[in-house]
Amino acid sequence: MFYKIKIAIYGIREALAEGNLWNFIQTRIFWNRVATPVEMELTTLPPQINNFQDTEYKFIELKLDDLLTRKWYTTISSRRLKALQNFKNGWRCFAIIKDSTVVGDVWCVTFNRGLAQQVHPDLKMLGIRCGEGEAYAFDMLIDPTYRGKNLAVPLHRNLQFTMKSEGYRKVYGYYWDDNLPALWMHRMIKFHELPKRRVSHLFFFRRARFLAQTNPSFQDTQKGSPKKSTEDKS
Amino acid sequence: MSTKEIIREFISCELLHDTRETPLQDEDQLIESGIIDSLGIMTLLVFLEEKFSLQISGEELIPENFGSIAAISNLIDRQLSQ
Repeated sequence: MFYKIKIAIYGIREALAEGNLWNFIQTRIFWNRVATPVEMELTTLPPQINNFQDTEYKFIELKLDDLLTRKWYTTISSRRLKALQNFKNGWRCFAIIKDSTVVGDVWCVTFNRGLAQQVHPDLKMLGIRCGEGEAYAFDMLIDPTYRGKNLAVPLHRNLQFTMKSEGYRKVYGYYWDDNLPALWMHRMIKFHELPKRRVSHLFFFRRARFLAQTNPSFQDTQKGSPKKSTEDKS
Repeated sequence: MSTKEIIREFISCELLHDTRETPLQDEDQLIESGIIDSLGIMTLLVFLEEKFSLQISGEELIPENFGSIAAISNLIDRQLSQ
């Protein structure tokens, strides 16, 4: 909990510096915000192409040592703190780098036998059961300086190709419906949308339930179904 | 000015900044070419809703509706006829 508070304090400091404090608060305290869980069958992926060929960017899997030795570094302090914590949890990070700087990254957890309930707290919120051969990708961030350069889609695609090459067959994720760039990115990648969730969040506490009405134009592509209809609290 | 012309002019000026030698064609791919990325869609959406006084819902925010000038124009025409 102390480490979470520390990350939050760094986040507040950065939000203040960017004049973005209200947005920061809105991501920590909200009521009935709608989230759309998504899934991607990796067998349906198009042929792999190197999205960053002939560009100044490179796709890598970021390791804890890379951050500690500053082989690659992030300019966002709260991101670095969060990364150190995530690595302790055994989660994996994929990143786009330019020179020595991490310009975008996305996190990924996979099913570990015996740790099914602890794969990631988001999964309970989303009503997703991440099983063997499946992965959950989350918390993508593109450095604000590099936004609008078409990096988000190739970053996620490269993650999917990596997971597929390691034998995984499905990747889950989610986006908030009021986050238009995230919604657009997931639809460009052609994720299948699962039943929506209504989530309330107060700092480190949250409550989620399935939304009765889901997006009708996507129902024909929805393969998943609610695992349960009761409320989840975490 | 037709719907297509209005959309073409906006995309050329605001998303492309008129850097292309040839004008955008109706069927040019806007998503594959990276013209409409996750930030571009926000700019475009605000413009379309203000210019045509309509509301584009989440269900219509799919790549098929924004893949080309012709597709966007069809979406607007459908909305206006409702």
